[in-house]
Amino acid sequence: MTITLKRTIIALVVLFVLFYFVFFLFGTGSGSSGSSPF
Amino acid sequence: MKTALAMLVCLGLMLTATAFADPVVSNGFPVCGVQGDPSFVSNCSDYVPATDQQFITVPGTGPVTVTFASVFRDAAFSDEVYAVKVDDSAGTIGTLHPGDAGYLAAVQGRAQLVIPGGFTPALGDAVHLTFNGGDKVMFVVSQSSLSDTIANNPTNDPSQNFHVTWFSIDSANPDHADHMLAWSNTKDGSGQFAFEDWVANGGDYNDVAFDATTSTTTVDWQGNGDGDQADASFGGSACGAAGLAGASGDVACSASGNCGAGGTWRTITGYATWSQLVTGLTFWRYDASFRVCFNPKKQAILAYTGNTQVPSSVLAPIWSYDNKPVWSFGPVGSRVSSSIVRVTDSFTACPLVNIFGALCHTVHVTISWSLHGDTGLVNKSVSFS
Repeated sequence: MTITLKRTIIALVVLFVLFYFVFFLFGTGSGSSGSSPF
Repeated sequence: MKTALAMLVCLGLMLTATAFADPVVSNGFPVCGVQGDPSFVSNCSDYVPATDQQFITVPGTGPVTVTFASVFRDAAFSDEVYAVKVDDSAGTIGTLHPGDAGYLAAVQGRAQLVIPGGFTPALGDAVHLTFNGGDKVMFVVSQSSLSDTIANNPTNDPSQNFHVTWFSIDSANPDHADHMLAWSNTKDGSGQFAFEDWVANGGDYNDVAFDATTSTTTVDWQGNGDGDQADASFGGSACGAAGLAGASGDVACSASGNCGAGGTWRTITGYATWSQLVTGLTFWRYDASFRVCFNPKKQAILAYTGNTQVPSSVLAPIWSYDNKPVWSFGPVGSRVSSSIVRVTDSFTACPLVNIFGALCHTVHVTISWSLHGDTGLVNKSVSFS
């Protein structure tokens, strides 16, 4: 396996991890709360 | 002196016929509203007669709360009203039958107070009693109290004024006559009953009256996942057989006719968003709404309909909407001032469009509304899991 291929694989893994954390984990929710007339 | 007991029974309370025909009287019943309130209406057209009703059979299964609200009183006696679970349509309690020695004591042993003696009906007053679905509940009117009849008129001699007790089951009465009239409300599902508190022949059947509605008490109020769909089967609604948005009665319900006099439809909304914690990037937004029929004068929540949910800003192709909304609706009825609505749904994220499906991640969202007719406020809350 060439160094270029290794770096490519590592880069893909890193990208995937970043992608995974950014788009899947560490989410937070917000929304309606409190009182209002109806 | 004559007395009538009116009872209101919610939609779903089964009617039971007997061999005794209802007396024909002109007493202003059925009524809408509460005596003394400006909204009070005699001969209210919202009702149809519940012919020869003798008792109520509590709808549903498991614990069921029946709400009783006094609406009228015109009696010389103090007239105390009780609800009593009986074992059969003849009013049997254990081994005792009406007229047996000890029967009155057995009635007293099961009696739950519905209207205290001499009570003046007032808007908003109600008594909540718990029975089990399928229970037969007989109503009892004592000219003073059950204790008084047992102490001072143990044979329940109908000539002993101020000490007589009457029953909704005709055959249990000392004069074997009908002492109760009943009606069912075609708009909100409640009912109305009327008792005569003196020897029935020629009675006016307007001496004391109350409304009754039911709702199951197994509502998943806390959202602990114990079966929302099953929990959301309530009696007392005019909107569909189960009183639920999505039920077959929605079309009629949304036509506003079933909202009842004084009721108006209000739209309630709520939303939730799920975003990346650090970047604030929005993964998805979820908007939900429904309509509620609210009577501000009665402070009553009468019906629900028109529930919708709309996902938006979904960060595709990573996130997708699961489209599995589960709506739950609390009790409705002319005597229901507090209720709840909740929707639970979910979104799922899968990296690289399911290539790594094992890493998919689902976020459940729950939006809850707690409606309070007494304050006219709705409390909203959102949770995620």
